[in-house]
Amino acid sequence: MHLCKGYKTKRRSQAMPVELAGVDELRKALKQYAPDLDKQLKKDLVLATSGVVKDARGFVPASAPLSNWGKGNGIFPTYSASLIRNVIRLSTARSRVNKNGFASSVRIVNANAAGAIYETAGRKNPQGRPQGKMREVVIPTRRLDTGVGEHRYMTSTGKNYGKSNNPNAGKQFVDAANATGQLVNSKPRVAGQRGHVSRKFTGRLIYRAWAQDNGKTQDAVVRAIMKTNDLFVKKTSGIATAGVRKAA
Amino acid sequence: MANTDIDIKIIAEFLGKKAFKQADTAATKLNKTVKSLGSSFGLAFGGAALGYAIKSTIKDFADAQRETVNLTNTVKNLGLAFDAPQLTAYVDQIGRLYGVTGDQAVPAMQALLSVTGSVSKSTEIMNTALDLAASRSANVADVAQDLANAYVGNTKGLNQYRLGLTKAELSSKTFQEIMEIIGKQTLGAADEAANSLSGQLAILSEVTNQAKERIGGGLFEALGGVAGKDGAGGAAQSIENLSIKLTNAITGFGYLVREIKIAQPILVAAGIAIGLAWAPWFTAIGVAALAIGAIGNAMKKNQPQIAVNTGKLFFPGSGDGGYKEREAARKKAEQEAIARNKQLAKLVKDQAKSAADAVKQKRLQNAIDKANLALGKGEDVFDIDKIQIAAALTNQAQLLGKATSAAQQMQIANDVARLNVKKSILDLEDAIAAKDEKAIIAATAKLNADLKVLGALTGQNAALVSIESILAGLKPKELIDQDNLDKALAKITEMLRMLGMANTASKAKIPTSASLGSGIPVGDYIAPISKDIAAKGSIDAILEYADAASARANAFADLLDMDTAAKTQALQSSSLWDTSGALQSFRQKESASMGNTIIVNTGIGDPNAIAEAIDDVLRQAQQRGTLVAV
Repeated sequence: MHLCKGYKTKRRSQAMPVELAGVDELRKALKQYAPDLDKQLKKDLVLATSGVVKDARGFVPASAPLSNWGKGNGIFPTYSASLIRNVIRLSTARSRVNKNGFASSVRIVNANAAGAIYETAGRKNPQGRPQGKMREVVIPTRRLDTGVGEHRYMTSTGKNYGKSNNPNAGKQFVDAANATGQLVNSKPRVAGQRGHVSRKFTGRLIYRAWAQDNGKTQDAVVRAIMKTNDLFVKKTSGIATAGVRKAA
Repeated sequence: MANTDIDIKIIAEFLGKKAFKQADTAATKLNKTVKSLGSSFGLAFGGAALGYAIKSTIKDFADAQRETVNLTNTVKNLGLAFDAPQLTAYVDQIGRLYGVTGDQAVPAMQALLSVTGSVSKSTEIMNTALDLAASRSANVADVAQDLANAYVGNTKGLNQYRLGLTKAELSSKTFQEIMEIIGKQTLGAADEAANSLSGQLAILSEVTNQAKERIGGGLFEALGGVAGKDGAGGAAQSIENLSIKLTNAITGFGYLVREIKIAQPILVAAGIAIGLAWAPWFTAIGVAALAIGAIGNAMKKNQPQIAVNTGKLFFPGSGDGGYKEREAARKKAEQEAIARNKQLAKLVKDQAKSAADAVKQKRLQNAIDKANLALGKGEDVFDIDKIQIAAALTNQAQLLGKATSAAQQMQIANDVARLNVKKSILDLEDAIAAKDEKAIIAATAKLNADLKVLGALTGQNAALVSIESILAGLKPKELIDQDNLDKALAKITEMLRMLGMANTASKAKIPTSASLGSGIPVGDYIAPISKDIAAKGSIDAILEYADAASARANAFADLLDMDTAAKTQALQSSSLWDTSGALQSFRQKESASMGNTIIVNTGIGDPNAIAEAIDDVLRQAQQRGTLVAV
């Protein structure tokens, strides 16, 4: 018996996430008292999210959008299609509590740095990062043959500015990424919605797959959890009465 | 795998924000506080709480009164009853200045008065105790007790205050020296502590307590009047009755407000009055209370006063207000304290002396025990028959050098060693009889050494060489050894001879080219220039000199070569020169017939390398002409 109070958030287009109270406690209780149910829940969740995960993996280009990105020279994360595909997966580890006090216990993650770059490139700056605020760097040098000298080069400042000597590098990078996959906002503005629309749910891989899913996976996940909760309550003969409940 | 924030949160759960939690905690605390405040407020206005407050106040007064009586009695018993007011004022003063409560100050002063017998000395030490307690965050009463102990020589308690002194240093210093050290380290600490927030709070608390005690005193008297002839029990009953009546009054008031509509306008009017003049309302109550108090005090004046301390007090017997008597009493008390301290110091000294004597006795006993042990060992190996034989052979020991065999030497050595052991035993017995510790230790060491020698001699594995060394030690040294002297003289003679030869050689003329028959005249050479001259000359001049010297040396070398060539030619033209080659042939034949055998000693190595080395040597010898044929 659980206290189902319905969804807290309104069912906008793929509104996410669903707030369920007590999932964390349920997972702990399952691990302690019904490990078989815990394993079954994991299997159900994997099955429920497999469609989105599979689609997202399918959006990963086989080769790097810019050929040199896959060569791995420098500190910039190297593009590896296989690695990116492998780490797009379901995670049931609880996330950090965000500034609003929420933590997530069922997530689809894109945990690779290069994958994250491909996922979000152009999300904030569709034309690439600007190349402004260049400055000249002068490094004094001393050589045995030529004596005292200096090394000069131009660079841009700040993390919000491109540092390439190519002023069009940012645009070229975003264009190349767009050529292999379009940015899709899984939480678009709905009719009548006012105010700011977040771009945090925009991406080329998991967000695109999530947008295409139309909330089916979310429902499946909720159903799996509620089913497990019911099984657990039943298994404990009603002792556990305050299981998972949808927040009011 | 890098950890990114790119994820889709399917299921979320609100776990609460930190700020919310803090707010919740704060609200919870606030609720508790408000609740507590509310209940306290309610209690304060309840009859039971009023009764409790009155009882508590009176109890505080009673405690303070008991402390005062104890302190007064202590002072009085020391013959310083006239100082009681001064002492009470001092206790109140340190309470107001430093927040020291009465239950801390009174026992502390009692302890100090008991050991010093002087109010002024006690207050002086108490001031130091205040500083020390403030600087070390300790209880004043404990510190004063420790200082009182230190005053009579027990400095053990001062270790905990970290004065930077060891136990030995503390015990070796006088109390005045210790006080100076404490004063140097902690002077002004009490004032600083009193100025801090916690100090101010403590002072406020103590002042409040003093006020409470005074109020308690007033209440006690007031309730005593209410109680009548039943005394304190009657007062307690009066308080309970009063509280019950007040409770009933409050309950009735509430009932009146709730049930009777008449009371409501009164309450409204009272509420308006309170709202308009909140502070004047309290002022009015205060004025009323003061007026009632004034009336009570006026009535009280007509009643006979009962002294708190009914014991024997001081009454001045002369016209100067009793100054002389007070000073005499003070002096007497201080002298008694000094005398007591002197006795205490003497006692401590006697104890130290007895302890030292005990240690000395113990050391002597240890030495005697060791000596007895050594005597036991000595007697084990001692045989009177052998002594008698050894005594008979004492003269032979003088002829030890004439012993012809090793067996004789060994026998003599054994006997002499046994005699030495016996002598050491006798010496040790004498030392023990004299109870001379040093002599006992020395004799014991000597006996042990002799026993060691004897053990070496009688041991089955004793080597003859070591016995000989022992015998050499036993043998008397001759003042003059003729053999050694002869040998030394012979060596000196030889040294003188060699020195003479060296001297003659040094004085001999250095052969020159003229003396050697080269034809170069004596003194015909260019003397080398000194460093000083060379330093003054130019480089060209030095080079010119060098060239000239070289040319001259070459000329003389040519002259010598010519002289040699002329002599060789003269020899070859003489009859001595054999040009037939017979001699060379003879030499070659002789060598061949003898069959020279060369043995080459080599290490272990590569045979080929050794052979090559030998071949190389022979080839070079042949090239140099030292080897004609191989």
